[in-house]
Amino acid sequence: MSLNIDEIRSLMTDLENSSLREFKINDGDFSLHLSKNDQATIVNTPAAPVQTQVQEPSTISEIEEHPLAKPVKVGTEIVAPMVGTVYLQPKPDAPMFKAVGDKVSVGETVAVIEAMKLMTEIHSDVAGTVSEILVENEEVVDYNKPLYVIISD
Amino acid sequence: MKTDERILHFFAEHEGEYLSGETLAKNLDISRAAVWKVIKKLTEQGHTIDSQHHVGYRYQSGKVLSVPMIKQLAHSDWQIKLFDVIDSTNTYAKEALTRGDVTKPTMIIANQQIGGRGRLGRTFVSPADTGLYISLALPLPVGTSVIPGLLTTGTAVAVSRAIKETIGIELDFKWVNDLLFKNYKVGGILTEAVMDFESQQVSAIVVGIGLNLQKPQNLDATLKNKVGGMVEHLTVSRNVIVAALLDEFVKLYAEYTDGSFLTAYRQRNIVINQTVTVKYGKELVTGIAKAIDEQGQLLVDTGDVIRTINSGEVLKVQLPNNSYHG
Repeated sequence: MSLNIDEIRSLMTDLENSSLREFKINDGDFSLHLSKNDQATIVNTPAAPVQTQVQEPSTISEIEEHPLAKPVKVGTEIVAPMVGTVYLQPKPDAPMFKAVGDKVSVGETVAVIEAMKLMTEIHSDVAGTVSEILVENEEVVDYNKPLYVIISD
Repeated sequence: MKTDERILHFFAEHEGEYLSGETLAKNLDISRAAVWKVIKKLTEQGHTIDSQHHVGYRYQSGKVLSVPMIKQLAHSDWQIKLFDVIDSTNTYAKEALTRGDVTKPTMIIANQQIGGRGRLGRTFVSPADTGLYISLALPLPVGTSVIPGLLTTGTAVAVSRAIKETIGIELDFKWVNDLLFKNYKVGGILTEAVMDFESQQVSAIVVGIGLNLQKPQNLDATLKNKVGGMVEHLTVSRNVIVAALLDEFVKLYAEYTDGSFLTAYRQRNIVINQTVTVKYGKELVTGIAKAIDEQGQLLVDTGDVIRTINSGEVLKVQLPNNSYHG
């Protein structure tokens, strides 16, 4: 058995999107080991720029398609600071923390992530409006996975 | 042990009773004058000792939690904050850490919680006098690492050690952090992280411990059959239990990353080799709980693969005689 680079990429994507943590193939000379088990430790490190700016694509072709397009809007992602299960509501049966179109203020709780019963409230570090929710409630997320896109006011 | 510590221990063992100077002198093998001197010293230190002519001395009245008593009994010098009634010790700890009011490891205790919480906002019934509601607020200096899976499971072991030393019973565990006695839930641990706003890093951890020493009264129908107590009548001072808990936790916190407590955790975990259903994310995983790995994760054999579960909870444990109630 051997796999070409595209097949390996596709396996990586599958693993990324599944709740499997790792898997291993051994077949003669061929072996492949993919693992997501590397975030069991949380380190309080001094520098941590996890917030990323997302720019809406502004290629030439798009501008041609949308001649009246407004100036490029900048959204800010709120990302998962750790691996775990993400909860978008404070408790089962309670309303979601945020829906698309809701206002968010700095410091507001927008999600809770659980890993090994370590519950971490995720607070927004931007003020603005929720333009996208990128995860589903109770999804298992990886480090740095974008949860929301917020358009600043 | 110094004389004042010995007197405090003796008071703790005879909580609520009046003890004559003669009884104290005899039991501790000191003179009555020495008893009088130590009592005077303890009172000056902030201990409340009631003295009645011809009857004797009584430490506090009833089953009162006391910081000076806990400090006296414990070996650790962590800060202790005590509340008679509080919303939730975990909420208080998180807020105090966020504000920067707590900069050293601190134990927060309440006699009663009116908003006690478990996982996912569930209520943890926390009545006065019959339980212990404790949060350990742990600021993380820059560069410190935390292994949440081990801290949560390690805390369960530390609690069980303290309970063994003081009450004399052996608690069981249900992965991750339920504490059981005779198949009823008698406690839980809720670990929460505090994120620093600017750096988006975990800047502190709060380990919340809720214990039903006696079974809480007035539980609703769903909890009534799951929740129990450790003892029928509490004969051990809660101050003694808190002091033991603090010492066991401090010891664990210094060395939990080596995972040496996992042997004890595995031995008394009711899920091992049982068929379990685990809610993992949105999925339900059913299989045999094979093991708990070096990071405290649960390995479940579904028949096709071994799944490593690191979040979520065990919904169902199928014990042979269906004896588990939690």
